[in-house]
Amino acid sequence: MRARGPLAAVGSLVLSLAVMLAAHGCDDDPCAGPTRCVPSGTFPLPTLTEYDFFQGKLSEQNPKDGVVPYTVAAPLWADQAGKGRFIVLPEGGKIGFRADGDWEFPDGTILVKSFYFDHDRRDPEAGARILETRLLVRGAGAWKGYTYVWNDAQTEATVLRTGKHLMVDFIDVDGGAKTEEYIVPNLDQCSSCHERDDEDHSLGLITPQMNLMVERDGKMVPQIAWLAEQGMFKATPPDAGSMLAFADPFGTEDTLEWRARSYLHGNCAHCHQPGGGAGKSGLVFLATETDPAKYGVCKLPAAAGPGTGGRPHDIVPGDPDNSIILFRMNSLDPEIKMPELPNRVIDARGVQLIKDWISAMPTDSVCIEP
Amino acid sequence: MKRFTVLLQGSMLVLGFAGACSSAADAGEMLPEGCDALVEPGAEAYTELLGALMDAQPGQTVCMSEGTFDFVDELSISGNGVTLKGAGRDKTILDFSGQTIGANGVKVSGDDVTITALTVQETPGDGIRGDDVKNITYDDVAVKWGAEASLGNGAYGFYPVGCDGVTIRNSLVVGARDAGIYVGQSKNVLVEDSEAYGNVAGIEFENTTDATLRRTHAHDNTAGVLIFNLPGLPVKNGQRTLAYDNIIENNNVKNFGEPGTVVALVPPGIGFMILAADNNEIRNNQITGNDSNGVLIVEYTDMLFSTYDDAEFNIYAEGNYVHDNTFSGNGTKPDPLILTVTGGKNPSADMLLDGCTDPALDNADGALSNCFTGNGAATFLNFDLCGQAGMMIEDIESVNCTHTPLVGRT
Repeated sequence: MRARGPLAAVGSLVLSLAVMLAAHGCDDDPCAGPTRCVPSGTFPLPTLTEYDFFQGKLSEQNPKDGVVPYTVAAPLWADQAGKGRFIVLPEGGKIGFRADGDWEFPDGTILVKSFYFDHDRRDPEAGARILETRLLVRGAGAWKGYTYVWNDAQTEATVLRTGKHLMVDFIDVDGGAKTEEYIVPNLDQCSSCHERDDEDHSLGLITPQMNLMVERDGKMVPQIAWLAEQGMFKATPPDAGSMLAFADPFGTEDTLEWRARSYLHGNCAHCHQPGGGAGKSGLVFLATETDPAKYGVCKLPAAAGPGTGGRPHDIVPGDPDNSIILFRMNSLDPEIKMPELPNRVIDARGVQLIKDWISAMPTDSVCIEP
Repeated sequence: MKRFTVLLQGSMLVLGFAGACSSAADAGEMLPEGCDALVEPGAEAYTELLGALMDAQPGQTVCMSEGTFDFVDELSISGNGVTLKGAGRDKTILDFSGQTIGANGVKVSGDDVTITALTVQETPGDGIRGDDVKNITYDDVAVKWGAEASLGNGAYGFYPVGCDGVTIRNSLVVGARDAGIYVGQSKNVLVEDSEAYGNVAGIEFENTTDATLRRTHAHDNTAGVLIFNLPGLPVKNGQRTLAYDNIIENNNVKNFGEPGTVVALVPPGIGFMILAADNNEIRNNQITGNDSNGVLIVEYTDMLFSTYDDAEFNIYAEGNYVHDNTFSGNGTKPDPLILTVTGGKNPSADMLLDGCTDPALDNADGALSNCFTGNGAATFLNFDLCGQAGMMIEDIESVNCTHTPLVGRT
């Protein structure tokens, strides 16, 4: 697990504890074990506390038994917010592993994702403000999303359906004080990313996103195998090396091509795939798409309107400045910006990655200008 | 208020028979007839409205009172069978001048949703989007941008895409930088008794099948009505648009579309334009004062549009039927692009046809022919874009044929 802030630091400390607890059991907790009792009551429960996911101070996100941390290879940009992620399986529940497509989760599963801003981006040890915790709850064979907004005292998070604009103060990397607006989405907006073919999906819990090395108990281990060791799967998944793995988009291990395609999958494919919110555009950003015309090379825009910025094609090989995709990634104008999320900050590293990728594309076949 | 008025009305239904709960009765009086919740303008209006829409059950109506609502976020309607109702098109105004979030003013993702009696204005992006839904209805709704012919205006007014069942009636779109009333990749569509002006395209059906357009007034746009098929889209080869009893006039506004978009390539002065679409019928319309031409039927030509990679796309416009329309004053000042394809014919003609047919298909039964009959003294030109006739033809008898009239939606 890459240290990304105090939560991550706390997380790995806590992790050893959690693993230890998992190994030895915990007499005080009737729901101890690799899975957790489903909280009683009607979802969404009014507060995060009532789910009983964490021990000690809620803001430390110190997971109880059966609240299992995970991370993904190519995460969605969320205005540089850090994220803490957990899987909570219901008592006795196990995951049906799938090499392709969504993993299968039993009813009662809860996926937990907290979003936080470091107080000081120069110093992760200076702590963080948790802004919101999102849950995906599985019931009757379908996911349903809920959002909990944290109070200023960081003692509780309360369910909120209608979204909220938060102002967040922090010290930027240059040492200057900065205030940014952060948008907590409303519940309708959950589906704008998670819905595909009229059904909500988990986006991170697919094999190529989960197939990476993570630090657990002081050692680097393959995440899927580690989850298997925790007894989370119905059957043992294949070896990490035999399965597709997305790149760390900003790492050094993979090719530029695969890092860019992994980034586009993590940030765009939730809509840009058949059946997704932008399926009608014909533009497909699944990392497994092999037809360059479908992932934008010399592809004409559909109903992009001003989103084209006067540029003729989604991707013009060798010419990032004439590529619509880069123009839209680099905008905060609600009519132009991509993804169509309420972001307030452009992902400068992501923009650079895609720029590098397009610049390096072979230019032996050129797009025909309209 | 208003979210709890939903609850209060519910309890009134239960308790009303006992006649015991006066406070519930009072709350009930606050709700106008036909409303299950009411939201008034104010700082909390957005949150209240979104909450009320989330709470609304199928068949329920969320009402907005008279006044201007300033929204900075996109408003979403995700529940099925919900109606959003204003106090009147000129009374309830949703103003998105300050919008910073969302590509649309209103986005509908629930089935069987109706929006009625309100105006949406000044959205930075599109007005009211219907996204892959069944049976969306816009009734007595306006979408407006105040700036004339401005690139700063939003692209689409009404923007249903991928829908099965679209009804737009008694409605108005003004100022869209792309298409005012746009229906894309949809089927089973009715647009009636509506008006579109000051847009690049007044009305556009794109890759859409079985649309009916009637009793609608498209005027003072760059082009009045576009019936287009475009390549590279998941829903392909739209057909059978029926347009009747419309007034399509004076569509001569300079094209202010965003460079790089298809619509920006449309020459000004066009009444109807059928592009690469088949089996459409244009009958009994009044087509007047469009400077380039009244009706243009043309293939998807790389003279005008981009090249594409879509093996399933058919470029030809075939089997269309233009009959019993009234033409006057069209083609008097044709755009240079029109002059280019018509060999400089000036004035142009009321009805322009490219004369292209798919050489790979057999047309022995005439099903692929474009037919023009009963259009009075309207002028005609087959400008022989593909060279299949070997010359331009002005004789209307050369296209005198008929197709079985479409029934359309009622």
